[in-house]
Amino acid sequence: MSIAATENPLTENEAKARRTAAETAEASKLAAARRKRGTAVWLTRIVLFGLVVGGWEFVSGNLIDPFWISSPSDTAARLGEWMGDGTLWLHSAATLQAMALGFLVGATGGVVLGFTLGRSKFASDVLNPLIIAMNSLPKLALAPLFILWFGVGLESKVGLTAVVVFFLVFHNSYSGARNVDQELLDVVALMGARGRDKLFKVIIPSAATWVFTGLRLAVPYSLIGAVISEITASNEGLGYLLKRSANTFDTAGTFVAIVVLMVVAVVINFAVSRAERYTSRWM
Amino acid sequence: MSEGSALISFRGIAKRFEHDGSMFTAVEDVQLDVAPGEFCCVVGPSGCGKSTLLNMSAGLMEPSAGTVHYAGSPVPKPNTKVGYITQKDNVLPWRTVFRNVALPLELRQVDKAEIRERVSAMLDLVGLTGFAKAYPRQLSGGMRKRVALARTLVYEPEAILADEPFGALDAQLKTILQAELRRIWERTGTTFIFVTHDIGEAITLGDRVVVMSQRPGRISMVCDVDIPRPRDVFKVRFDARYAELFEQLWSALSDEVEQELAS
Repeated sequence: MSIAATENPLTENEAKARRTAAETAEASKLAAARRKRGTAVWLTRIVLFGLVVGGWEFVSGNLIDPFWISSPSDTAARLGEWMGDGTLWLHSAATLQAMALGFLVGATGGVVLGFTLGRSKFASDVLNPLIIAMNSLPKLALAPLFILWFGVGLESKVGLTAVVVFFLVFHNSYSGARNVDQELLDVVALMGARGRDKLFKVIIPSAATWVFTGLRLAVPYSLIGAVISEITASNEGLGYLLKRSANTFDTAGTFVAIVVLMVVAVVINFAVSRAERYTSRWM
Repeated sequence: MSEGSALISFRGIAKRFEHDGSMFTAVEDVQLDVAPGEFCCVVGPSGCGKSTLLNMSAGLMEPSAGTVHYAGSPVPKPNTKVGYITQKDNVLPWRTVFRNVALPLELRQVDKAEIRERVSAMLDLVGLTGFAKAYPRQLSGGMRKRVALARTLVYEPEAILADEPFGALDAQLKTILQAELRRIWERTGTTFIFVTHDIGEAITLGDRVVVMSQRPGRISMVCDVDIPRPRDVFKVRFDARYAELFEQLWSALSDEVEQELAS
């Protein structure tokens, strides 16, 4: 018996070493085809992007008044200006801070309460109607209430973001905790698992996929929560920048705020999907 | 056999279930004593409550009437003295093959080096060498069954309840694993209750074969397998006693199956 052999399935290099000449030839043919297609896709994307931006630049001033649609060059200039004088960093940081704090508070509460209720049949039976009612409420409708309670500063933004995140994460954690396979729990109990072992070795890993789905869904919503709160009433943040620009008929500034929000969202979603791929590698 | 000497004893067992608002009786009037170190096989038509008996021995299910004793006292809930190879493989999908088999040892706080050694030996035994790092979804149904088997054998429980553990395997592999199981049993003296629908398997492995009737399941026949040990799993089917026992069990079972088909 060899422990090394059972512990180490073929590494990539070993797998390569075992290929026959014909297989190697086929592999490089397939790789070349993949590269070619990848290049074509990227080229098409670049051309398409150029067409849209070029078309926008052309239309602006020629067909449509730049007052309404600004132009790529004005937008880029404004972006440069705001990057230079620190406006962009100040407001981005404010939004990210509200988002991160709200996410942390909401996600923690959602996971803890979701698990607790999910594992207690009685408590969940009692609270079920309330959960359904709260789930049905559009959470963003709470923005004015939070501003009334906490004012226009960080607290109200964090509050709204936390509520939005809480319900998404709660719902998924709750479902995850309820959907643990009882047979798995039984089998593990027979092997001698006690409460703690069951929680850490069965319930949490089993619910983890649900929880991560909740967290992944909640990330873009935390941005929405923070931005909506800023748009409703605030004195800093990307939502505030967006609203101030639009209110002062600054179309270029409005576009900058939108583009920056988009970039922030893309970066965050990318990070989340990377984290998820790692935690769900067994699926 | 007296009640005191049995490891697992069923006394006047009945189990009734509610299903879609109506009640039905899974097993009724079951009396059975399984001695320490005995290999007891249970055969019977599907739905005759074989799994119900195992669940009650494991303390996962309470009988509606009667008592199940383990080593002289009522079965604890759950009964951690027994290992249970359920009909569904019940491997943990988020753990690799290695970590699935290591689980019961982890729970017993066996040290890492020993876990490594015992799990690897067990994976070799069930023919899963080289799959240690695979996740269950990458395996076939038969391979997952073998993971479940290895996971139970690895911690050497006092008694093993097995619910058709070799049902999904091909004939060759089945014979090889039967031989391994037989060898392990002869070495360790583990008590087995082994549910199967394969009469040949029951005779090959068992000291005794219990035949159950169709629902509500009752014990319709108990048959001692008096083929001497150690048995050669590969050759036992050419034994004259094997044929006689097969004939006897087959006629008892086919009556049940015919009744089931007629009803």
